Amino acid sequence: MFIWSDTFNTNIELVDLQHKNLFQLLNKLSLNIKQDNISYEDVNNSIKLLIHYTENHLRDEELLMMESRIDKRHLTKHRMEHNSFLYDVGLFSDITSSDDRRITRKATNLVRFITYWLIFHILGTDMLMSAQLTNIKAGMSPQQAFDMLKDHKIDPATVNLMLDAIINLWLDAKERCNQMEIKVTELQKTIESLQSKQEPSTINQSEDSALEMDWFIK
Amino acid sequence: MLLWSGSFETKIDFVDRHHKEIFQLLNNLINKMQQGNISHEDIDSAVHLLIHHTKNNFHNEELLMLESHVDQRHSAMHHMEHQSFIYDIDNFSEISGSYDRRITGKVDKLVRFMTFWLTYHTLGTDKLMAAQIANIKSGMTPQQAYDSLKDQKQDPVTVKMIQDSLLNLWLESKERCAQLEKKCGEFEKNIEELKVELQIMTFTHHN
Repeated sequence: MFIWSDTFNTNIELVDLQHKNLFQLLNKLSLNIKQDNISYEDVNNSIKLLIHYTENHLRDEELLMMESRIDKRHLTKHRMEHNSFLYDVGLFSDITSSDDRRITRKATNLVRFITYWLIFHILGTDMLMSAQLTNIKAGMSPQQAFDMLKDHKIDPATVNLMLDAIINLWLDAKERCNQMEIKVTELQKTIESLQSKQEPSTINQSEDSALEMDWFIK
Repeated sequence: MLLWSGSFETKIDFVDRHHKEIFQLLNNLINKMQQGNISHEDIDSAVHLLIHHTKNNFHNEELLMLESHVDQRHSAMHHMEHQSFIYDIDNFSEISGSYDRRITGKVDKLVRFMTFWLTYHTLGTDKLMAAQIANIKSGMTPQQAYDSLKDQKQDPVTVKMIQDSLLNLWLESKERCAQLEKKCGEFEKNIEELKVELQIMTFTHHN
């Protein structure tokens, strides 16, 4: 469950509103998942809505940055973070095509991922964007506004929230790696057993020749 | 290459000395890897030495925390980070067992992992430990020393370094996930093909 606090305010009305809505969607989805009698369609719809809304929000932010003529150095990096996020979310997209009970676990993973990513992204990158937009509005050139960021201090509570979010993203990815590794080993075993079934004739032959040898020795 | 700088200093003599040694061993390994005609044994022993020294350093740090009566909230978390590192590093241990050309790629991953992890852990967790020990020495209770850290401001350059290391650790894990997923896909396809072949075999056998 994510609880909104002022720490997350960028002081850009549109952006804050969308962030709040996103967290609300995330919270609603994680509540939905916890209910036992939730239908597959409900979870599926909530996920689609969430992803759709997130994509929209990222696009709005990029538009805002372009309109405000934010420095290219920031825009490029900010866009790259958005794209990398969308790529990762796309990897979770098999959720919608898996018509089974495991959808709950997959949706939980997706909710965790989006929540941690938003915390890290809002407190880090979005705050940097907002600081620049404020300075540009106050008359600075985009270059000046960007260069000013070097001295941009963040309070320790925010730093901790942000770093914890990245640590959780990392730990979840490691956990996923471990699960995949187990799966790879299992699949490898299946392949080996299928291959041994495929060559029964060679095994029989060697058994036959062993019997012949036995007979011969006797 | 992991270069030592003042920002890594914890101001605890033996901890700093150990950290410098570990950085040096890591850089030695990187140098060895860059030389083309290095033997498998050389790399293997360099990796082992590095891991051995790192584990030794953990042991000494944990002893120091016990002796200084560092608050349990910190020492428990610190211990867990060490354990988690040892677990991860043991997953890389297949390096020493793989007598093939892919060893370069594997050691490369190990080196990257250790560089990012050491940067994050030394700048973050170890410095928190050092700050508490300094406060305890100057008369604070362990609890006070722990609580006083909550408001301690970190300079933006250090925060950026910690953040970047964590992001890199995350990216490396994601990369590994992607590779494993690809492998899974290939294996699954392979299994399907084998099953079809088996069916054809039994079919022809019965006829």
